[in-house]
Amino acid sequence: MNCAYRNFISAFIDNELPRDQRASLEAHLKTCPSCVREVEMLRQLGGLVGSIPEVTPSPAFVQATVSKATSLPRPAHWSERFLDPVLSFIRNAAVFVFAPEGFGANGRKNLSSRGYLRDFDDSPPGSFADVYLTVIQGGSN
Amino acid sequence: MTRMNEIEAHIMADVARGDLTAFQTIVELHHKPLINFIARYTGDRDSAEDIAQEVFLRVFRAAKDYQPQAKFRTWLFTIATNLCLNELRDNKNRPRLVELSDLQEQEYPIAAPAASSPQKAAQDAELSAGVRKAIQNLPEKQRIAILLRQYHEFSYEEISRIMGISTSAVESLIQRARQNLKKSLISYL
Repeated sequence: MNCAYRNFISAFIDNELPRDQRASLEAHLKTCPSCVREVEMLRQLGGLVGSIPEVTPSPAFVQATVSKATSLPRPAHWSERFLDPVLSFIRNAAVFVFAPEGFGANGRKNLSSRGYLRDFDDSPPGSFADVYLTVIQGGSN
Repeated sequence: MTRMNEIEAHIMADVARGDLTAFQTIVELHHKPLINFIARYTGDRDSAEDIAQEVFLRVFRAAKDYQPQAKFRTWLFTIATNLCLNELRDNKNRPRLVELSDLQEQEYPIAAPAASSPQKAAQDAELSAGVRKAIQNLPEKQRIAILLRQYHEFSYEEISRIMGISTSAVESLIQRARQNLKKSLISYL
């Protein structure tokens, strides 16, 4: 039998029908044995499907997952992602404006006076550090 | 927001700050239903744990993006659903059809109620195998929808958010899934 109400039965047993459709179907079920059987069958099916036992997770699953998370980069707070680059730029700009002697055209020897660049004093010619320092001084090799 | 939502929102805020204790709480609360959902979807318990672990790691990485207006469980299962669908698509790993002979007790260590007799135990095992096979034979989206509804009691609205489809599409998927399951399991009804 192809009763038009059959299409509503699945949502009916899930309690997902709008109120008026639910009321209409409930009234219909009083007169349609075929739909009543379909409701019973789908409820039985639900019981059958729901009866299969659950899987028991491995005892080590939680700890293993947390351990893996430990090796991931810590999620950066928005302030770290946004402010740190900005503050870094401001620091470098301030040095450039207020203490330009370390960046003059006299060459890299001036850099010795700036502690933070002293490490690069002995960079070999042509190396990345050497090129970098030349660029920031505004000169060329 | 319900009380549970509030609590999980606070926990997730801690996870977003990299708090591993908070993350462990999330994993402890949700790992069993998540693994069961994935195991029922893929038919494979071992890959289910791998996929579930990946889901939680994605939760950890994306914690800062979590919107507390949505239930955490809905968000968690959205990630899991996308991974399940992509896992099969990327690996071209069609769901393994579970044969009765495949199902050994050690493959699915379960907390099943004690059977009253060996014959009953065998009947229960056969029934379970039949149900698992019927679920595995469903098309992907019908399988996802019926699992979310039948085992995890998500509403149609929640399922629509998880799957990114309309509620009428969810209703249609579940209806068709039930008709297909009925055909497969008619001998048990």
